[in-house]
Amino acid sequence: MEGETEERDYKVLVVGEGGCGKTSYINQYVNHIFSKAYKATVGVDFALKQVQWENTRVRLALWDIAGQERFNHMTRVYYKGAHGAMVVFDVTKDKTFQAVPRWKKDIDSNLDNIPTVLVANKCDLLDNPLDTETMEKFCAQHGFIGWYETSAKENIRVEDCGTFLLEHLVKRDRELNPGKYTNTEKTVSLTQASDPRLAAKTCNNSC
Amino acid sequence: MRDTTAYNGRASFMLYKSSLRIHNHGSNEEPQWIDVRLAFEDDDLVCFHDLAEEPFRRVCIRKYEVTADGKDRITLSSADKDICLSMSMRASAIHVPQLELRFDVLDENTRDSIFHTMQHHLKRDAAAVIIQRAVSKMLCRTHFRRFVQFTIARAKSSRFFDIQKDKASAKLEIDGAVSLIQRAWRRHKVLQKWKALLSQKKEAVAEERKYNVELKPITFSQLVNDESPEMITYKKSKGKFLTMRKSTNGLSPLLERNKISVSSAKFQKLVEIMCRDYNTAESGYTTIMLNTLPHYTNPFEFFQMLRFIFISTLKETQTKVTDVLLRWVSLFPEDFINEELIKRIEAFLPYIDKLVGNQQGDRMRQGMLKSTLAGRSGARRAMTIVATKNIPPIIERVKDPKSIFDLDELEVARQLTLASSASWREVRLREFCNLAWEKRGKERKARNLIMFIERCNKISLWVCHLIMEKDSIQLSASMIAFWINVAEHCRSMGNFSDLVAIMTGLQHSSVSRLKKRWAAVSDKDIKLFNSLQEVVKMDSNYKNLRSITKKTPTPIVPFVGIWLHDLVFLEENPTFIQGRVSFEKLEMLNELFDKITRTWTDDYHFLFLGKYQELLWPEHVTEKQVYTRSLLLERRGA
Repeated sequence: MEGETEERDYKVLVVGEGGCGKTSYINQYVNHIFSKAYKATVGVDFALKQVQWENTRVRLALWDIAGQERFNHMTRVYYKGAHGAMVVFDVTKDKTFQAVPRWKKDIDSNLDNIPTVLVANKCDLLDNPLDTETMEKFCAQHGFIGWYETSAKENIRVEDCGTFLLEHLVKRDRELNPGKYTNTEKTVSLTQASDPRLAAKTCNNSC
Repeated sequence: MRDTTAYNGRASFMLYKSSLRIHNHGSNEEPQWIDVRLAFEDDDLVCFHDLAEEPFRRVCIRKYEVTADGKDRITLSSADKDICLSMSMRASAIHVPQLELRFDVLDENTRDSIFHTMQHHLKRDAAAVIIQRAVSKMLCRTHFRRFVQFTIARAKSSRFFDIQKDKASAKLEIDGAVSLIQRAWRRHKVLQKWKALLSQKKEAVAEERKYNVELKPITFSQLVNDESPEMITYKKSKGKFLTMRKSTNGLSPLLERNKISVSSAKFQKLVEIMCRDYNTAESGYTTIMLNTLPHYTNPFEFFQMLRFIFISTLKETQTKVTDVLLRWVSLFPEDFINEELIKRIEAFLPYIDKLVGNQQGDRMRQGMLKSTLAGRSGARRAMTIVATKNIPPIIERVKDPKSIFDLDELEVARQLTLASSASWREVRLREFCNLAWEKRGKERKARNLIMFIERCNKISLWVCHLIMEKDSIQLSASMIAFWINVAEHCRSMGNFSDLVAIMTGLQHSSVSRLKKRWAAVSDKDIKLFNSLQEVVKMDSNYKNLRSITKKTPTPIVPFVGIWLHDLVFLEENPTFIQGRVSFEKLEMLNELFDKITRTWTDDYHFLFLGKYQELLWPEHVTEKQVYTRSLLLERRGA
C-alpha cells in the first residue's frame, strides 16, 4: 500500500468557437497524440486525464463541446458543476478570439468564478508570438487566471497549460473545502442534485 | 402585360408546412379551402421568420388530390387568382412538403407566358418586401450597405450620377430607395452567381492539382495492375465491408486474396475498385464511396475518373460505371449544381447510349434532368402524406384552442414531432461532410442542418418563455409539468431532438432558479423530470441518449449534437496518408452516415393540423428577455 493517497475528480470545460482545435488539444493533452496515424474512436468517454499531484490522485474529466457550438443554450446547461474551464481560440483566426469574451461570459453567468485559462492554440502557425502586455491586460479584464500560447500539433506548452490549471483547481478546492480535503473517503461529487428544487436550494445557500 | 382573364399558369410553390391549413368540413370530405402563407422561392433571401410573419390568405380549392408519387395537388379556383398573384411570394426553403398549386386551366396556350410574367412580377415584389423588412429590422445592415454602395458605384459610370447619388444617400433608409436597391440587388445577384461559378472553377482547378500532382498519367491496365504499397495498402478485414472475391472478368489478378479489404489507396485506384464487378450494390463499397465523396475528392474529379474507366474498359465494367453514375445522380443531386459539370456529363451521355444501350441512357438522362431541376431548389426529400389505417386521431381538448394551454400534451408532442421531423428530413447528407456546419460558407453549405439546430435553440428559449409568461406560481408550475410531459411523449415517439430542446429549456438557468414554482410541481412530475434528465445527460459522452437512439426503431428525429461531436472526432483522423486516401476513415465516416440516413427512411404518421401548428410555432425569444423575466418573477436571493 502506498500510504494515504487521496482521490479527486474535477470537471473541466473546454470551450471556444468551432474549428479552433479543441479536440486536437484534448487529444494531445490526454493521449499525447496528434492525428497522423491515430484512430479516433467514438462513443467513449475518452477525455479522462489522470495526474498525480503531490499526494493526491487527480482525475481530470475534460468536457468537450466540439461540433455542438451551435446548440448555444444546451451547452450552457452542461456548464453546471464544472470546477475549471479552458477557453480555446485559434491565433490565426481573429474571429475565434473575438468570441472569447462571449464564452467567458457564458461560463461566468452559469458558474461561480471558476478558474479559467485562456488557450491560444495553433501558435506553430504564427510567425511572431502574441503581445504579452495586451494579452495580460485582456486576461485581467475578462478574469482569466492566465493564458498560454500552445500548439496541439507540435505539443508546445499543452502539458504546462494543463498543469497550471490543475494547480489552481487544487488550490481553490482546498480553500473551499478545507475540512473535506483530508477525508479520503469522500471525493468531490461530480453529480449534481438532479432535483431542481434541491439545486436551487443549494445554490441559494452557497450564494 | 398580364392577361387578367386567363390565369391558367400552373406553378409549383413550396409551402411551409405550418403555412398551410387545410380545412375539412366534416372528417371524410375533401378539403374545401385552404389558408396559405405563400412565398416565392428565392435561395438567398428567405429566412424562417419572414414567412411566419406573412398573414394567412384564404383560397378556395377546386380539387384536392394526392398524386401517385405522394404529393398533394391542390387545384385552386380561378376566383383566387388575384390573391395568389398580388401578394409577395417567397418560398420557404425548409420543412416543405412539395405542394402543387394550380389554377383552373382555361387555356393551354397562354400558360407559359403567363407563368413567366407572374414569376417576374413576383420576384420584384419579393425583393422589395425583403429589403424593406431587412432595412427596418437592421438585420442585414452590411448587406444593405453593400447594395447601396454598389448602386452608387454603378451610378458613377452613368451620366445620371448626381441624381442617383442624391437619391441613394438621401433615401438611404427609407422605402423610396427600394426601387434603386432592387436594381442593385438584381445586379448583385448576377454578380454573385458569377462569383460562385468562378470560385467553383477555381476550387476545381485547385483540387485537380491536389490530386493529380502525385500520380503521373497512367493507363488503365497500369492502374488495375499496380499493387505497390504506394498505390494501395490492405488490411485484414473483419468481413464487415468489402471482402475480395475472385473476379470473373479476370481484370485483376489480386482478387484471390480473401478476407482482405482496402486500408488506403490512391483515389484513382479506389474508384477503379469500385467499378469492379464483384462490388455489387450490396457490398456497401459504392455506398461508402458515394456517401463520403466530398472528403476525398470533388464531383469533377470523380466524374472524370468514372469517365476514364468507362472509356477504357469492357462492357461489364461500363454497365457498372453507369450504375454508379445513376446512383450518384439520384442520391446526391446537390453535387450537380455546377453548370460546367452538368455540361460535361451531358456530353458524356451519348457514349452511354452507344455502348450500353439506349435503355440505360434514357434512365440516366431522366434522372439527370430530374436532379438538376431538383438540385436547384435544394432537392427535397418528398414528403409522403399517406392515408394509412393506423393514424391516430387528433386529440381535441377544447373546440377552439387559443393558447398552447388548451392543447393536449400528447397532441403537442405529435405536432412538434411532425414539424421537427420535416425540418430534419430537409437536411442533406452532404451537410455533414468536412465539418461543413462550422466552416466558412456554412450558411450555404449546411443551411438545412443549421436551420434544424436553430429550431432546437428556439424551442428551448420558447419553452422558458412560456413557463414564465404568467405571473401566477400555480400556472407556471403547471406549465413546467406540461412541458415535462410533452418531453416524455417526445421521448416515447423517438423525437430526441425536441426532447433535448425541451429539457434544455427546463434546465435553463432562468427557469431552474425559480424554486417557488418548481416547489409547486407535483412529485410525480418531478420524478419524471429526473428520469428524463438521466436520458439526456451529457455524462460519458451521452451514453444514455446514444443507446436509446440506437434501440429506437424509425421513425425518429435524432439529437444531432451527438453525431456532430463524433464527426469532429473522426475528422481528427487524416484523410490522406502519403497521397493515398484512407479508406478506413471513409468506412468510419460511413458508419456514422449510415446511422444518419437510417433516420430518414421512415416518417411519422400523425395527422397534421395547421391550427395547432400555428400555436406551436416557437416564438422568437432572446436570452436576455428570458433572464429579465425570471428576475422579475422571483427576485434574486428572495
